[in-house]
Amino acid sequence: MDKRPAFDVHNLRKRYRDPDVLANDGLTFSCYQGEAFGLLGPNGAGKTTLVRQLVGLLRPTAGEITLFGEAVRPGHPVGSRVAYLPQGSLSLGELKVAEAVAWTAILRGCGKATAVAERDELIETLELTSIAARPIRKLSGGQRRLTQIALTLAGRLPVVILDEPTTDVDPSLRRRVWSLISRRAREGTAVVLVTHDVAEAEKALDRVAIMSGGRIVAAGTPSELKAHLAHRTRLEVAVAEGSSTTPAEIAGVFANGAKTDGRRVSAWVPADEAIAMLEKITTSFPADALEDVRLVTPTLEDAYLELSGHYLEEQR
Amino acid sequence: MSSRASSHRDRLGILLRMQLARVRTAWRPYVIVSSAMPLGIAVLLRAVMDPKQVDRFGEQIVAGSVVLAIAMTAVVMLAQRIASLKENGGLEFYSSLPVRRWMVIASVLVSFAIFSLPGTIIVTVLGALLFNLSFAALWAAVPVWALGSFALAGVGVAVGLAAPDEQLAGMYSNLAMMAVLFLGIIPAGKLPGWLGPVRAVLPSTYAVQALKPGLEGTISGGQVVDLAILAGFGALLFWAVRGPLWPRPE
Repeated sequence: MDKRPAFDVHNLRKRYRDPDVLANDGLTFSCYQGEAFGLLGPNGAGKTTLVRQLVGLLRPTAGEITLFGEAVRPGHPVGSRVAYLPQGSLSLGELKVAEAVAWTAILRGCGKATAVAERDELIETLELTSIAARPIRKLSGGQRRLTQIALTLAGRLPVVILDEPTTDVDPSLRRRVWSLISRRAREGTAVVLVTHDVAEAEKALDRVAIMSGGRIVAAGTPSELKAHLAHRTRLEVAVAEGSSTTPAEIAGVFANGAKTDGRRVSAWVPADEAIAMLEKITTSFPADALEDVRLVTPTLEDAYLELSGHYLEEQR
Repeated sequence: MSSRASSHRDRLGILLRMQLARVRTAWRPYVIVSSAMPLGIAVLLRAVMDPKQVDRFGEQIVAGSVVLAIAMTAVVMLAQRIASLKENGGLEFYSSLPVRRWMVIASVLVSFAIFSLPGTIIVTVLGALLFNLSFAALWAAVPVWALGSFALAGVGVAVGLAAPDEQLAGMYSNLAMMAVLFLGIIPAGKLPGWLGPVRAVLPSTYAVQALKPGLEGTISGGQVVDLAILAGFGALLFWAVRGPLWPRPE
């Protein structure tokens, strides 16, 4: 890859003292300018601990973090080059949305005219126009989160770190957020994204690291990660409402077990047997017992669940 | 409008405006709480004192009440605000911005000094009327307010940073305010000797001493010394909250 690395992380370890927890265990990766790099993993995987070390808010126990070739020193903020959206709520409740965005851009070094132009663009893109003059404390949770995203992107710093940006944001606006993040990455920003929203983030991410138990258990492009599951296909069946056929009967057809969720049954089958299994289902049960039958190509979310060990937990 | 990069001055101005915006929601406590208790104490003492005592201790009581009004905002309310910012990640927001720490602290200290102004004016004027004090040299209250509020706001930030949470910050700052109250209003000669060192290390002591002559209608050289000591306290506390007391990465 000929892009310049923004962050280089080498053998990073973080152990908390109270309680004694090894939150990051030997993490090594790079994040480049012009790419959206996703950190995926279950709660407690060590993602937030990692990003707080990237911005100098936490002290690593061991290892090295460099930002554009310079060591990140804890307590010496990297705010001139990195904008950080934490998980927590915003403490600028008295400010109005528009002034908070413009003022943050000025604090990040923009002149007034640039700050105003940035403010207008972000407010329009994130559909904040109707609440631009409203104090942040009077906004809903989702509106506050969008305002926080606008604050983070204001000033156009070369690196942006977003920790669960779409929490509380409604689905239609989430798409706008992902699209904006993706656009910023294409324009040269290095974006580090922590999210649980794997299905929607997939389109915005160029590379992904999947974390579990403080370690990176897999890394690569979404296509590379999905290739882990290329030999399998998911067969999903929805039992018609009021049918005498039960989901348990359908699940019994699958030799390797199936998962039932209400009227829905899903199971992984070898890719080369998928069509045969589909035919078996449709011929074994009356047509009016099956509301929907489909074969689903593995998604990044499937790869995430598999690689982070979640599928194993579900099957136990 | 200009498209040049923002200067340190621009950023300091923005930080100050961010802090001052708090007045939009919190002006009532800044005005009412900071003036009600000091005024109430002054009224209470005025009611129970005989005319001789009023003549003798009036300046001390009003000066102590004025400094208490400053302390209500600059120590109690500010300590709780800082502890709340520390607890909910607000300080990290400022830490993540490319602004110097001294700018953030200066904006907080100056804004809370400004917030203490209404209570200071109300208690000074009504206190002077209540105890029939001279208005001739009341202008001397201006430097006392400026330096005293800055130094006491330094105490407020220090308490807020040192306290583990907002509740304990409230408790510690109320204890500090009690010290300001008793050691400020009660004349030094009437306090037990062992409280002398405590008086000496409280910035409020010098604020009261600097304000008293102004309420008597006179100006003295001693005031300049007290103001210089207040400025020293302000500088020392500014250094402490910017350096040793500022939260370190875990």
